[in-house]
Amino acid sequence: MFSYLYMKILESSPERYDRGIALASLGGADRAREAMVADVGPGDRVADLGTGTGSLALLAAGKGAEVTGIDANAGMLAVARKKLGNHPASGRVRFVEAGVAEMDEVLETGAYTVVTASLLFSELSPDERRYALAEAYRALAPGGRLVIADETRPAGFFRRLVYGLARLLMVFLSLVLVQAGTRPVDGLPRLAREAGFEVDRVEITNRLGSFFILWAHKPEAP
Amino acid sequence: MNRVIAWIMGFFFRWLPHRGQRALLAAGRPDEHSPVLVTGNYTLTLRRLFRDIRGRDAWVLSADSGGINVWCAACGGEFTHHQVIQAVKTSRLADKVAHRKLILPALSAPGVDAGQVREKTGFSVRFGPVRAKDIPRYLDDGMQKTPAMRRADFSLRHRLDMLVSMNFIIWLPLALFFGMFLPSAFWGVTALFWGIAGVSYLVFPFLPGRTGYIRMLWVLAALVFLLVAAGTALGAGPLSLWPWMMGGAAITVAVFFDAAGIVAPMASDAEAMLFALGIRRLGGLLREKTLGSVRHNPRRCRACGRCMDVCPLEVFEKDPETQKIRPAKPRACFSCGACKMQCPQGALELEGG
Repeated sequence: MFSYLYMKILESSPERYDRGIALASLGGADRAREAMVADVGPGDRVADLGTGTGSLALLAAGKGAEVTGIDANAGMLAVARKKLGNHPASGRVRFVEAGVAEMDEVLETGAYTVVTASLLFSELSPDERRYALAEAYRALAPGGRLVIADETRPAGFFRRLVYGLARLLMVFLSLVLVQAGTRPVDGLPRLAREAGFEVDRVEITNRLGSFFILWAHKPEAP
Repeated sequence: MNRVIAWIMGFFFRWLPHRGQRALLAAGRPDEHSPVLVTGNYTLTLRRLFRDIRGRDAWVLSADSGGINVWCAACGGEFTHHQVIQAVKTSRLADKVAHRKLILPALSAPGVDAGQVREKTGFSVRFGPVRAKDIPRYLDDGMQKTPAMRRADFSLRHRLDMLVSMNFIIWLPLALFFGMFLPSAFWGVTALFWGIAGVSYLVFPFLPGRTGYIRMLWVLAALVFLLVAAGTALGAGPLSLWPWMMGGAAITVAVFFDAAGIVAPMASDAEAMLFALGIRRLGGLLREKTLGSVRHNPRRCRACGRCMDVCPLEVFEKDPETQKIRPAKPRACFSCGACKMQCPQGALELEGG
């Protein structure tokens, strides 16, 4: 039982999460978030999956959208709610503690115009990815957009090598510090198509080629 | 490569979690009628489960336990009905099997609310044997458990398994320090360390004392006695080996830090100490429940026997005449919380000890 305790001592606190991510991505995370919600505006209803500390949810709400952010981690949501406190758009955001498997209980069918997920899919198993995409499809109204940002394996031998080495270090650090294992998301466009989406474009956002944003939409008539 | 890492993690670094895949996995060639065995995604757990059911056709549903073993994760709130429900739903299990039954490890009972799983997924939960090696016989006997299958015994084999895997990570920094700065003492320290750890793990169940820390005193006394005797025999005076006494004492304290929680069906001393120091919460662990023993409310009890089914220490007993259940061995209870979690009547509470 004590191994568990040991692990909890090592586990990073949600308070440090935002700074850690910003640092690790050299500011790339902020730019990626801006790009994800570039065409979100008033009248949009956004479901942000794996909302974490709520950065993306608040950004979307700041542009006038109604946002539902869900996350399974209560500690992260506590930080998100704290940020919500005196935010001008706080009236348009609700945070719900729910995992991917509870999407069917939290998100109404066809009620959303945008579904976003940032750095969630790399934490999911292949089954969970399929499930999340199917549920996102259900929750979206026809024509609704799906925007996913995550880590992937770069194309090209040299980039893969650099990425592999960097990742080896990160895997070791993350195993020791936060006990979180993530795996790069490969083949997401195919999975999205299998779920019924039409994929509009996939953009690689960093020079190493290890980070992407995928835009897709649910067809108007199935 | 992954298998080598998994083996090293499982054998030497068992204090650290190691995540295996979360998925619906096939053992043999399962079909829609095959049993579904649910377990946590700790690589060692998965490997041993597959080894123990070799030759059987079954589904293995590996749910998220954070890469921690089932018992620790269930007690610590990492492996609960939430993770089981998630695994059942995201794997689309309902489309793959015709029946609606899950078999869970008995030691997951402290964390998994069987009622919740049934309500959210339509699958009913049965708690199987404590050890995976009993699963084939359990399946052959129509999912009936013998008393031995219910019992978590901390046998010699279990203790030897724990000896290396739990103490390696304590020995490693010692070895690095002495290897680099005092190479002449390296082998002496290593022998002393594994000697103390080995003897402690072997004799632990036979030492008198209600807690692990009290039992530690016997080992300390024996250590001092032996070193005084050795010093005298060498003609250098009874306290001439004092550096070894100090070092040995430190090693003993380190080995016993949580020994009770590892090698015996006893409450964790380390947890109790933190609790006493005023640390009341650490993740899901050290909830108020952790320390104390079970209290049974006979007026609420409907004698369904679920507590008897999941208790790993046979604390409960059914009176053959009145058919009522009572905690016959309350002192054996180390408050894992399995009975409380499974009791549908709320007839069981854990009392602070």
